[in-house]
Amino acid sequence: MTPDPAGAVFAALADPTRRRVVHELSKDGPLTATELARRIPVSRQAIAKHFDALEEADLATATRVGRETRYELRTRAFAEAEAWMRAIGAMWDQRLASFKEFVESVPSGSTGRRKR
Amino acid sequence: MKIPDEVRRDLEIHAPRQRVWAALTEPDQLLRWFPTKRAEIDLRPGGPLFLEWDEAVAEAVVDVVEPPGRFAFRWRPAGLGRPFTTVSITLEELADGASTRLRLVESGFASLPDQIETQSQKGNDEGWAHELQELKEYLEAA
Repeated sequence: MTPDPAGAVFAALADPTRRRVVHELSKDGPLTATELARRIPVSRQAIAKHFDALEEADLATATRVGRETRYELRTRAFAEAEAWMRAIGAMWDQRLASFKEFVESVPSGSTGRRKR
Repeated sequence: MKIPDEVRRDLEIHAPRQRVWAALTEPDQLLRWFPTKRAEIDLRPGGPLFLEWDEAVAEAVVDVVEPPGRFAFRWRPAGLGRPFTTVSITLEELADGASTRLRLVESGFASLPDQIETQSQKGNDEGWAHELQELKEYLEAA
């Protein structure tokens, strides 16, 4: 719905139960609905419903294996979070470059005032 | 698959360690390179650190002050609900004494979902979308 894919991802994660599902899957996934329901205090039906929301946001996928459904996180969604971190890294590159330039441009004798 | 926990940077600066420490921790010097329009820092563990740009503010809490070798703070970019990443900077004197190795590690990204969850359990949930939006604005402003 939103043109901002990261925004869509994080909007889907606005619900604490869904975040819990993601957390469990990122720790130990893939997991079945039964396994998830054992870890999170909601019914299997509720898990399935929350899972639909995650799947719609392209955060996770469900695969049918025999009588069970296996839930798994998708990498792409997490690529958004990683992109976030790359942005933070790029910002540090910028800041540290100007830090280096500043420190190296001022003679050592004039470090400025000290605090009392 | 997990969100990587940290961002690391490593660089060599051609200036003595004491000089690098001062430029890093003294507000009037911080203003010259960070660059912000306002910088306040209470340089002791638990002391507040405040940075202000035109479009954003960042509040932090000082964690470690070990002059002239180690400085760390936890911050909450753009006024997010609580400090959620730790920035740790170590300065190592190089053999010639005229240069310094700076190592920066910003960590705590992997626990972001948990932190937001804890926050929501306190009835203070503004949601991921809001948190992300704030961070996005902060990143784009700086």
